Amino acid sequence: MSSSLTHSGPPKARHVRWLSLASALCTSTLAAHVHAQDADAEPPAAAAPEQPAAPEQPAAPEQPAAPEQPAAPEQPAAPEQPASTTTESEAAPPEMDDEEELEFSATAEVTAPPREPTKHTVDQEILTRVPGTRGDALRAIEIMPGVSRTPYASSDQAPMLRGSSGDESLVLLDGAQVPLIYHFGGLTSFFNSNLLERVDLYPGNYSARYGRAAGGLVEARVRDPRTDHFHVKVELSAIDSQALVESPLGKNTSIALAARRSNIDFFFKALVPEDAFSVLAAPVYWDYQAIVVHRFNERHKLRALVYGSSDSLSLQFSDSAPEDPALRGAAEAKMAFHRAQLESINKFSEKVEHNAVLSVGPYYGKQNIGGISNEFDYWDVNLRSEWSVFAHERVRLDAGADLQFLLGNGRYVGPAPQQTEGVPGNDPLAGEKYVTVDQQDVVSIRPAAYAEASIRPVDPWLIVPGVRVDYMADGRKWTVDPRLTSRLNVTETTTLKAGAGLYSQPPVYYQLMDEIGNPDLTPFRTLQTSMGVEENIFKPLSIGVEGFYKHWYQRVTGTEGGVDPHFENAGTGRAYGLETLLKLQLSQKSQLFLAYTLARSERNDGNGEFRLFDADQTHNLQFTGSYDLGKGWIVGARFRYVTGNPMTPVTGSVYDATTDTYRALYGATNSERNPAFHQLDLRVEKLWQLGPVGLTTYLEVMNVYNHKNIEGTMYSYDFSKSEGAQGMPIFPNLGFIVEY
Amino acid sequence: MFKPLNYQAQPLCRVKSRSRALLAPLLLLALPACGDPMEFGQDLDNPRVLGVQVESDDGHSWPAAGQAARVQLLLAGSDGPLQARAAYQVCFALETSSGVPLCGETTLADGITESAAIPEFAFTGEDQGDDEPRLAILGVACASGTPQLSDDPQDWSCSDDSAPLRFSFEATSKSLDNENPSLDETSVLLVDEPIAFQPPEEPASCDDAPEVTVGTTVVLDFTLDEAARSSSTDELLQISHFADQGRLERQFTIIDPDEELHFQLEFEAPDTAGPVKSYFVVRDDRGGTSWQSFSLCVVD
Repeated sequence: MSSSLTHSGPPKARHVRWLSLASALCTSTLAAHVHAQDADAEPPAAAAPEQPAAPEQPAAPEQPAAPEQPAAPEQPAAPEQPASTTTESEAAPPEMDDEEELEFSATAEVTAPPREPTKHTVDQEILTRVPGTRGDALRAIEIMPGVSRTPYASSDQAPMLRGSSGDESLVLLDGAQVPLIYHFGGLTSFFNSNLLERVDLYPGNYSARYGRAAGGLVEARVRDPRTDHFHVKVELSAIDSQALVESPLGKNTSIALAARRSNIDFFFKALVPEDAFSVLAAPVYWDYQAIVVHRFNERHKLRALVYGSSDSLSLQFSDSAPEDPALRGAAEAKMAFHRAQLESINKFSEKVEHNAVLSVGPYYGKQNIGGISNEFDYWDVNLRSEWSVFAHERVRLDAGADLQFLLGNGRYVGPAPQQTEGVPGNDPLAGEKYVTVDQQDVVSIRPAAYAEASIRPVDPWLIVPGVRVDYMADGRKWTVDPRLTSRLNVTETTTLKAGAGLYSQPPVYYQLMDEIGNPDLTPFRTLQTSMGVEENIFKPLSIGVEGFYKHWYQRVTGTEGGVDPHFENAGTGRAYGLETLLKLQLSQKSQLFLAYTLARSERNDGNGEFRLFDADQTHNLQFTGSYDLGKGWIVGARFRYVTGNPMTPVTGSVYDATTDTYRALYGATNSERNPAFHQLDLRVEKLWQLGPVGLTTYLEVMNVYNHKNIEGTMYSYDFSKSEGAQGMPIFPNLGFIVEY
Repeated sequence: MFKPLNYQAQPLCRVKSRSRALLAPLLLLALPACGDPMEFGQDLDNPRVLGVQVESDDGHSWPAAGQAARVQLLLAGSDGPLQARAAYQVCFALETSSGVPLCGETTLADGITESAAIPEFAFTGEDQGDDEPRLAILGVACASGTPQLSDDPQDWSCSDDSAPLRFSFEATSKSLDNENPSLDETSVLLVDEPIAFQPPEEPASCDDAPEVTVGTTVVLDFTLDEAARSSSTDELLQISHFADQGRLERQFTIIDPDEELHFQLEFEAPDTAGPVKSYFVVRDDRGGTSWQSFSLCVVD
């Protein structure tokens, strides 16, 4: 399973005074904020759907903060009023009778200005429309700098950030870590993107409130269900079918239900090569989500979230694989999990707030192929509690604790796990030495505590020192991670930012097991530093440039030949680079992002020599744009150019007479590269509004000019010949959406 | 608990990695890549080592301490049996969980074979103690030039820079009680006509060989005797098939312990007439190896 679980309440600024002091940081405005006048006034009609506000909003200093309320009721209702990093207040002032004094109240939900040096937000309007991402929110963050391109069909579960591997990234859903992020290792994420408000990306130097990840942080925020009226949305595409319903339940409660199922199994058999497999169970995935939000009053809110996911596949090979006699028989994979999550958001006073999140659920996974089997099940509990105190008009204190608890069983038969990054994996299964690991009632407890202060010694300057303490009970190890960030508004449009800190991560569970790992392993950590500038050139156009350096200490590496103790903290690493992001936001649906990252990521496996990281990508250029043509037409394009990933060349082979297979001989690790990757994806959609019903048709074409991107190398049985393994060919995806 | 193994992207149909290709996305998304491999392992296009057999004086697949054993190599290419000399080293291997085995400090035997006709050599077994060490034979065969071994397999070479045929063979303590599969009573039929076996070192010949018409596909019917499995335990048998002309249906046939010792294999005759040499090598999963060969005659 993933190596860390942590929680966080959403970062929200609730103290208006604080917002006023931070107003120089803001790049967008509140959407209507009117203070309450008369409690006896007729409650405003909830004409507009929930308006989660933009993260950086200047508020009227004299007005009290009430961030968790629906937006001003006089705003014109629209089918979708998603959040955006830029939100304009478009409410018309209420018509007033000269003899009548209308009194009404409303508050806007405000997200705090970033306290981290770098926070990229992809809002709801973009999440499901980025060409080439199949409408997947977690893939959409790849348009941002600092995010490495994930190779086609890679099983890296989490995004790779600033030269870190995917397992060093923390991916949270409303503050809770999820067991699996993608269906079938990358096809689409497990959570319906239409239910997400935004995805926040912190490529590095994230807050002390989070931990157990040596890389960066991705947090997906679930939006509240709409409160205006009943909504339903049905979407059909070549990949999957999904439905979403949401509705208010009374005055203070709203609910959303969603479900999705893949369509792959309907045409899978047509793709299967003749005589290659018997399909016992075609690949199927499904997922579901249920959200209930209840607002007790302006100060207290409860969110309940239940979701789950399942992937399954079963095949029977008619013969063994051509080059590997051990790859035969049945191939089966099943992974499923369910989660119940409860979040409490409380504002006890103008100066004291509390958030708590509890997430509980089971996970089951099973994988078999040939003689390898891997079956495990567990329950995990994640609990987080955080207090925020506005101790002074210039000081805010956040302190909290989070707990990760796991109880589970597992059985594994197969090759001994070993270091995967930096180790080519071309050898056949046949002849591998198998181990059997059977673990019952394994308990893992990992508590943590943190404290962070947001200090503004002078108005333009924000300093955020923090510290986090983690304990790893299964290894009896403590870590202390101090962190510091700073943001200085040198002008109204220019911000200088910097950050430094330590980020510890425990080893993966199996690396600590006696039979196949090393119980004496310690957590490894990174020292992360960054420095940059943000410039709002003019209102819709902004640019940010940031340099970073990251160093790994005590990185877990495999021993030579995988011999006892199997793993050791012998490695180091370094990554450095420059990130640039140009954003042009003409409107909610017309936006342009140009992101460029120049970077280098290297590892040292304990032998004193640095070599390239498996996913080192020197140049990563992303151009993403969408434009509202009017009359319901929206077009989008995405172009990517990325340096090819390093590869380790095969220089020869040795015939294994025991198994009648060949084992490769390798040159220097990652001493060569695949050709550069480049691809153009296009998307066009058309909305027909038929009264209250909207009908949208979209066509997304991935790899429009069918470039043969090489994702790896395939070899003949004796490694005497090779050819590139091609990535995704041109792939059209036609979809239909009906929405009420 | 168990993090899903970190898989690398390799199309399943050309997988050379371990179970990494299992995860459904690789299978699902790489299906278009399935098709003919770059080369067919059952084709003898180039000189190759096809098998290594160890047989002790008392008929086991690895000698006990003080016992002598003979090692034979099976070499072949597109022109039939291959004559080559081999440099070899028999040793206790370093403990590794994967990759090419490397010799540790204890060497049981090393040298260069004298005869190029039938590369074989002998060594004497040693006490393995209680640690169940890995036992390995490492070597390189050269059709021309003198074979040379070194510590780094990359440097195993032929003195005249011709293509080296590097090989390794491993055994464990299980091999001490194991016998090589017996193929004395194995039969191969072509349309109910038994095919006579011939020594592997003899070239292909149409003399007494069954005839197959050019360009046609025929079915070879294999039946192994129970003696192919050791009597003491049920064994999985892996049979490898090779032909120096035409194409056999597959390289591997796997017979599980509970399966009958019978299978069929298609042979697609070449487009030109002439003799074809075919080999099959039977391996149990405890280091035992045996082989046989026969000829087919392709006619117009």
